[in-house]
Amino acid sequence: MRSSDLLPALARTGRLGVREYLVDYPSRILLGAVLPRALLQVVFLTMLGRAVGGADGALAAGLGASAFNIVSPTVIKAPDVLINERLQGTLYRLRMTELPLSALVAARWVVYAAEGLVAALLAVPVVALVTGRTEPLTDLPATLPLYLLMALTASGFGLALAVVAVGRRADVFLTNFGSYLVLAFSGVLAALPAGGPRALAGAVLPISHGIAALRAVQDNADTGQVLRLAAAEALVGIGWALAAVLGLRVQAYRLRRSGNDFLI
Amino acid sequence: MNHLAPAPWWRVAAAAFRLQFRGISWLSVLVGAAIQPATYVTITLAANHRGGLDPDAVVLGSAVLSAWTATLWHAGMVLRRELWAGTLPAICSRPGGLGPILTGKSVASATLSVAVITVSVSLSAALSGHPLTVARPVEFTAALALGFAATLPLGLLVACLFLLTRAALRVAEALVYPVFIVGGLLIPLAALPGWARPVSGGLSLHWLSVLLADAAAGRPSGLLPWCALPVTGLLYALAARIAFGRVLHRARKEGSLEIF
Repeated sequence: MRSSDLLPALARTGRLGVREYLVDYPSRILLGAVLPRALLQVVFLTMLGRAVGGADGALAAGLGASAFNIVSPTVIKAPDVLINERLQGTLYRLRMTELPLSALVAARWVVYAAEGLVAALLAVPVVALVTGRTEPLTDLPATLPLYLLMALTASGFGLALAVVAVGRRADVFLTNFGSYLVLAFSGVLAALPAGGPRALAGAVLPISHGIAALRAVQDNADTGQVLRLAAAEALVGIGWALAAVLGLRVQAYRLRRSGNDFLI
Repeated sequence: MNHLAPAPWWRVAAAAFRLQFRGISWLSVLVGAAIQPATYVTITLAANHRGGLDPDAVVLGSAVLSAWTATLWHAGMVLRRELWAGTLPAICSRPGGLGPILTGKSVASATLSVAVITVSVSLSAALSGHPLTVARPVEFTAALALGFAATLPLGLLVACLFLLTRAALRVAEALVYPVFIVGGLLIPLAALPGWARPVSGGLSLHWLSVLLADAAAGRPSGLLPWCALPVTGLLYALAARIAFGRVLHRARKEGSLEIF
């Protein structure tokens, strides 16, 4: 397939993804359950941050919580894009098309990354309200690219989990486990320590460097430090995305040899 | 004409209890009852370097917080799972009845969740360097037993309500955090705005958290939490009875249980 044909095909796939998403999450569900849950999660974590760390702890936790809003759509919900194809027995059809499977999945994934980004951005005014600080709002032009970057890196992690989950009957466990790993080791509630096993785990998990960059912007750190953290976040995301693409290839290879999806 | 004598309700409930245990999805239980409380214990104790929260209260608060999640996702989904499996109409029409089966399955689900949560928070607290100590074990055990009895009807109520709406999963998601915030489970009530504090009085989990934290610290709890816990449980039981009647009405008289 020529690249001139690929892009319109992926755009059509993306539009289909949006329609499927709106069937699963119609506007009344989005406004009545998905959005309130995301914003209340931010209120809870920000107030917990205040309880353990005072006013500064609340701000640090609020920024972490706003970024953590990206994780639920991209790590828990979006893997269904791939897993549902297996459940419905249609995954083989996607593998038979000329379009690369990873590109098809990515096109349908976009809407979930967008949900994560919107949920994170809508959380920023909530953080400002709960902490009584205006900096999260005034810094938004500078932090917006960081939120966008984290939506992409978390998507890479979610896709890697989806690839593992598609070969096993443990998708709910794996995706939720991934989300709790991020909550536990990405410094969502408070900054990670400089060394030790938590810092080591956080270094390879998505959004940890992004949250550190958000806090660095808040602390008026120099641009070089913010860019270094953003670059580290991007590297982590690229690593997970490459692992996901590699996993899909390995899975396709084994599928051709064994005739079933339940291996990887 | 022969009539089959219906089995006593407790035998039906016991059979449902056993069946629930046999069909348990361990991975699902691990997420809500082991990983979630361990995560909250770990991150809150790690962030609590200023000592703003009592470590024992953090551990017990995380446990009660996960009990709410388990109530929603495990006990609350008992009837939903029957609906998805297509076995709910058969249960409604059998002489054993829906009530004993719902009770047996909910008790099994809650028992398992409490056991896993207890192991999870004890281990994660010890690994975080704050092993849980209980100064008054008798009061602690009594509070745990009373809390179990008072929160079980909440699971029955949620299970019935989730059967009456197509958006049960979304409703469960939306209900998690309001209780986390106003329940005073991890966040002290003093940190809440004044208008939100009285809401916690209607939550059995709040009173359970108060009693467990007091027993662990060796403080006397006073009469109010000991009275409020069973009263909230009775109110949930009454509400569950009404919701259960509505479910049966839809199942047997309207025939619209699976039509949303």
